[in-house]
Amino acid sequence: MGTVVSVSDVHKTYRQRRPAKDIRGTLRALLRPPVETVQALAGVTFGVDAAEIVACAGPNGAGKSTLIKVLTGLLVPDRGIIRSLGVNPTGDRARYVGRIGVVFGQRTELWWDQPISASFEWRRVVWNISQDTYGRMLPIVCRTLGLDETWNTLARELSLGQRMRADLGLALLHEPEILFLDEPTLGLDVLAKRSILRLLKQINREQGTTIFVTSHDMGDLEQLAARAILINRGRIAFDGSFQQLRRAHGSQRRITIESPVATPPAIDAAHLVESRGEFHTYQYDAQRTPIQALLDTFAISAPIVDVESHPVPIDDVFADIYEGWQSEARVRSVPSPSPDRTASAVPDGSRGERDRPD
Amino acid sequence: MLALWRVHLFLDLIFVLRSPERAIVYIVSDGIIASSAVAGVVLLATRFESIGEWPASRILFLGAFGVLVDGVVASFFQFNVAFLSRRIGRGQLDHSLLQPQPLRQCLLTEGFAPLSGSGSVLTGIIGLSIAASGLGIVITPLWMTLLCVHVVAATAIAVSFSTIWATLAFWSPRGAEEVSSAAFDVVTGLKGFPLDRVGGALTVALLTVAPAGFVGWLPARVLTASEPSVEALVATPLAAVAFAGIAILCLRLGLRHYLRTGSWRYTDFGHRR
Repeated sequence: MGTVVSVSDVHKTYRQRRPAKDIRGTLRALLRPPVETVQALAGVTFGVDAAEIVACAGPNGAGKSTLIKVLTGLLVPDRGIIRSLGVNPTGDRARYVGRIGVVFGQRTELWWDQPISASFEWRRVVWNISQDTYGRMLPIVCRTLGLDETWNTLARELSLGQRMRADLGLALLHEPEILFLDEPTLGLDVLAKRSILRLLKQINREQGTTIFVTSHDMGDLEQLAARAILINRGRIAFDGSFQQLRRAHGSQRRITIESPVATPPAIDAAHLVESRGEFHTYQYDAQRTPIQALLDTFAISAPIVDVESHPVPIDDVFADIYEGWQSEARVRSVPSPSPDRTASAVPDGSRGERDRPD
Repeated sequence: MLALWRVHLFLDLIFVLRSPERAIVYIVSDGIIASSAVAGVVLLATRFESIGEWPASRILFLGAFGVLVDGVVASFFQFNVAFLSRRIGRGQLDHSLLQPQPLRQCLLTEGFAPLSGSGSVLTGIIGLSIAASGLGIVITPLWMTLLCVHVVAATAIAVSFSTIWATLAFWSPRGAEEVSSAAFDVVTGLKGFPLDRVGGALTVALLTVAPAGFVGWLPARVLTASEPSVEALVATPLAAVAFAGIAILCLRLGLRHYLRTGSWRYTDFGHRR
């Protein structure tokens, strides 16, 4: 499979006015406004293969939105080369956006005072979608996303989940070669999320659509994508599979022990994550501490009724990594990190590796 | 373009047919609001029979022409296309840039709502008919062509002027969000006055800095004159070309800046509503 998106050494900086702290500063700012430079992307390089699903994550302000804007042709990078579907996204914008689909979670493409059906008709004309394609795609998106029930409902009367599903349906109507999704599941309930994730997987599998998705919901990303790109302060801090990410994070696992004690015993080789009633959850390093030793230690102090072992939730893996980055940034006095130091937040061997399933 | 106008006509038709009685109220109130903007001058002229050299019927023609221009703007440039600074300032331009068509095509078609925007058009046409009858104007195909050319030119000037100011929002999205509506108000507020004796500098100002003269006075003078000069005939269309050219230039400069900086402000208020 060929590379459909190629990003090479892309840089993007913004100049932002800094608010003055006092009246003197405000007066001084009239003559010489204080401006700070924010490095949104700093030498980002990666490629996306056709029919691949790539999840992009990072803390707030990491550069995810800038990256997606650059990839969709809404922003021009300061430096570096972007080729998407063989073209420069900002070079021939009108033709390029006709080949991609874009969904921003907080922005709707629907006509507010019109039924969903009217927005779909509008889309068909503006995107110049052939009757063949429209006739084929419309039943698919309506069925999978459950749009039939709300087909004649005004966009302003839709719930967030219904609106989001309709927006995704709109973005898929012209069978885009690449789908860019920025926070597509933001604020959705589990059912709406499930139907969206199901459709995305389906169109990726059946039509070979490449999907590039950003989200704060790591569970969704892990369900959807095989590959994750982590961005921190405009740099790629990790590029690989979710399994690699977990391995890079360490061989941490969690064990939930059911025991009729109000205060769970302290265990040296593990730390207590939470305790709810008779269920006590510990996190431990599976490589260093065998599960049997852990249970033996617990059993000395309290009886064990049941045990359940599971990997650390992906949300917590990401939270730990982000926390590591934050504390590293606090320690450093220089605001912009070097690539190597940023990467060190994720243990060695993780950066740049890619391990995608066949 | 025609296909795009057709689909927007379809959207407008759905809007009107969904609640015809509400649509009628909307259209009628739109016409009343537009005519009230010029009602003061028309009533004064009626009371005193003339304002300067302009008899009451001619003043009515001037006012109705302005209302008609307002109506054309409302019919072709709704959804804040005429007030582009709102779209730019609110970060809504991204929606247009993500459509597979040139931006100019998007802006020229996305605000097309000829049915819901027809209140002022109808009011303007009625006013023009009454005034033309009072002035004894013979309606010929040539005169109708001249009227259409001047309405299009005056609309282009009003929208271009608003767009020129709107491009400030590329550099100051929050501060200039409402600048195009303010610019439009300047033209709308002054378009109903005859400018014959206001003095050279002020006349020049009202044809350049705030081109209200092109949206009422000059076209009305040409259309109500028995034998207008060639210079007067071509003045408004030429000014339209000039203002549109400046607007396109400013828009290009602004877009170049926008593609470098983007918009980090977003609100969906007014977007496709």
